[in-house]
Amino acid sequence: MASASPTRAKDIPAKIVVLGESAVGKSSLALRFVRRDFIPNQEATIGASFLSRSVSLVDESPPVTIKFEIWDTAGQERYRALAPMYYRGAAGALVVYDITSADSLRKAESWIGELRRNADPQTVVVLVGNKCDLESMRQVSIQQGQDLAEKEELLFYETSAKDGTNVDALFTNLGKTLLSRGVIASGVDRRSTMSRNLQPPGSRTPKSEQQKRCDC
Amino acid sequence: MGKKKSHNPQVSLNTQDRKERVLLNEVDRVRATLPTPAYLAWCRQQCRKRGGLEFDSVRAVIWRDLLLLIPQASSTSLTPSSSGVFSGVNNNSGRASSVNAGASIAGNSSSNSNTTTTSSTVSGRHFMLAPSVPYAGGTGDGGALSPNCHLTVLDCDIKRSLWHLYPNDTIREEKRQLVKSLIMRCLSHRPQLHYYQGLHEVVGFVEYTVGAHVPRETLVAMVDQLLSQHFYAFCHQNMKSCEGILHGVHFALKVQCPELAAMLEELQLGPGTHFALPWVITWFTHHLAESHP
Repeated sequence: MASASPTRAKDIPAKIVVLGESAVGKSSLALRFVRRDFIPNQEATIGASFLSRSVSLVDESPPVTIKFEIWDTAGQERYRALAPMYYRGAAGALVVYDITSADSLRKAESWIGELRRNADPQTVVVLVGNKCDLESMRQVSIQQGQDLAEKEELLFYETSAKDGTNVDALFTNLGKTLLSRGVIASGVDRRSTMSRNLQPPGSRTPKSEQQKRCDC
Repeated sequence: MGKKKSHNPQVSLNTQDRKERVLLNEVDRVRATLPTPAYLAWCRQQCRKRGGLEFDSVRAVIWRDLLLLIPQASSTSLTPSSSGVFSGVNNNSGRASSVNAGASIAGNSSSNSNTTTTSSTVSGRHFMLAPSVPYAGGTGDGGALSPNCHLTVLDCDIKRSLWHLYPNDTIREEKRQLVKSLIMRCLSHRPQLHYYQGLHEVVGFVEYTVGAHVPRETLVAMVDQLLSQHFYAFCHQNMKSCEGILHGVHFALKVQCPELAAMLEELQLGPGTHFALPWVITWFTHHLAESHP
């Protein structure tokens, strides 16, 4: 169970980067989570934008509040050179594709590859198939998304920024995963936590922790 | 980027009209009396004035001249015909004066120093001409265009643009197609330049500001000059040329306001984060408050 709360000094910061092809709904996803709203006339993101929201995880013992500090990046290929400065040191990365675009899934795969090669091995990666409200236009099946997530050992969600499906669940579960893996910890410097838990890519996500959910 | 027309309710429309006319006459007078380099220096000075140029009709003249007048050819004439240059095209703005450079330009072309764009003499002054390569794509798929147009991304951006400038759906869609065609026409003859996300906002704003005051070909020539001069560094295939400028922004901030620069660094928003990127590459048309109303 999660609830929103204002930012406080004891909030645990968690840097999250949102990556993916242009127009897959990265900004809409972030805005849906942060403002609980969908803006139909959302304009293209230039470079990157920053948003944050604190969420209390009252089921945790003791209850904790995570401040998600979200870097929403531009999708155009030429901005890719800027991406490392956003995913470097990130606790989590959302790699977003559009379920109505098979091309966007291929681009998501390339982002996953880049994160594997260059990001902190502890960074928790979530594969997100957005626009699941557009079922009639679907080009990427749930199974395809799940298969990729399983192969790459990622968390997986299908979401709709438009109607809010799975958006809160995604972030809540991401927060819990960050805590359970020690990527973030209350009262402990994250970098030292991460350095204690370095694992090679591929061995970082126990199968038992994988989340393959779609409530669409 | 300049502001839109003033909307101070204290000032009556007639007063605004009079003020606009006075300013346009002033531009006309200075333009007619000064040699081109001095006139262009005066134009730059007007742009830097507190409050800016105030009226889109004035911006249309001054932006056009700053972009398209060729200083080297200025000594040939100091007295342009006001009927030829400020001829009141006024497509649909209803404003007092406007410019008509594109329609007046004819023949007598010469080469620019580093591009294929040509120039022509108008009333004794040399102007840059619009790109000679026509845009064949119309409003649709763009046909066989060079990859530097990045049509897929451009299409995505165009479809979600101009919301705050044109509330009317029909007009907004027309303007989107116009902006797209402007970008594609200019880029299609400059393969070394690449479309980047944000350029559509710049071109959209230029069209919004001067589109009603200049002929289409003049607008094309203005956008072409912007891309090849002012935005050249941002139109490269990669971000390298951009990064130096963005580091420069932080350095300038450090000189002007060291406290703010220190605070940004403390928040890990130092030069490496390129916090100013959206403002710099969109000429400040990409405003946070407008992006996320």
